[in-house]
Amino acid sequence: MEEHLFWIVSRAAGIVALLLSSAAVGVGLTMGGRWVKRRGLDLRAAHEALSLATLIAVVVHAAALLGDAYLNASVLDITVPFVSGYKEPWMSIGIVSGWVLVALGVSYYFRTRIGVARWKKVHRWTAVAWLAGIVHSLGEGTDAGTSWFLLCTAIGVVPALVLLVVRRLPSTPVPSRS
Amino acid sequence: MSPTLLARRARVRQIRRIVVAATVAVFLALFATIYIQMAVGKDPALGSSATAGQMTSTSSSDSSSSSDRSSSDDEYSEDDSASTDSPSDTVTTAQS
Repeated sequence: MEEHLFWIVSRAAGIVALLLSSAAVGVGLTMGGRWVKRRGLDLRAAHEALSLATLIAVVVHAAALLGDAYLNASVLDITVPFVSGYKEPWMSIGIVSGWVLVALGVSYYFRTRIGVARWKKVHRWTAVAWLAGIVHSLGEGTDAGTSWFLLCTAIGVVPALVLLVVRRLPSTPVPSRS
Repeated sequence: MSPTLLARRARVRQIRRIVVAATVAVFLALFATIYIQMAVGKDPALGSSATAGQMTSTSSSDSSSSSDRSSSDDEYSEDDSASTDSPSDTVTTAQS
């Protein structure tokens, strides 16, 4: 079992990253949609903490593969798309979504330099990276076929997905009383 | 520093602590789930060969011991099926 420890760490961290990113996206959409009037500070703090935890989980997910004797991955294999050739295109989708999440996450701390309006536009791509992460986990995830994983994913992902769909729907005009 | 600001900072710290604690708890729960799944031989990648350090696969064409994971991994099972064309090449032994 010891030879699989890094692999188990990577799998667990990957699922944690999926759940955390789903929670972060959900909280972010709740903030942006202004569905919650109060607790704005709490939501922002939660969104930031969840996002940072997601980035750490993504790094652990990828870095743990370096220690896995079976995959025998190099740094390039886990950081550059289409280098490893392992379970493509799912691997590359995961790498790209990981990089996009890192870039967009870190960009929060440079939003005044970037320009808040521009940063907000760019920040919306986080949802696309998150969706790509879901595709990566369902396509490549070792546990993707297990019922407990699907249940975990459904509990974590579906609420955020519903919020995203509701947010993207065109707002219905309020009929005027005449 | 105003009491309001101090209260806000304390609230933010509390939220961060909750997120960290929940993250660690979920990670440990998932780690344990996967570990146990593997130990009882129900791992989706390893299948029943996980139960052990009990099964090792050796091949005369490849002196390095192949991992148990190859038993059900799509990409590597192709190699396995190729090697089974000549049954004498692949020997699977059970260890106690």
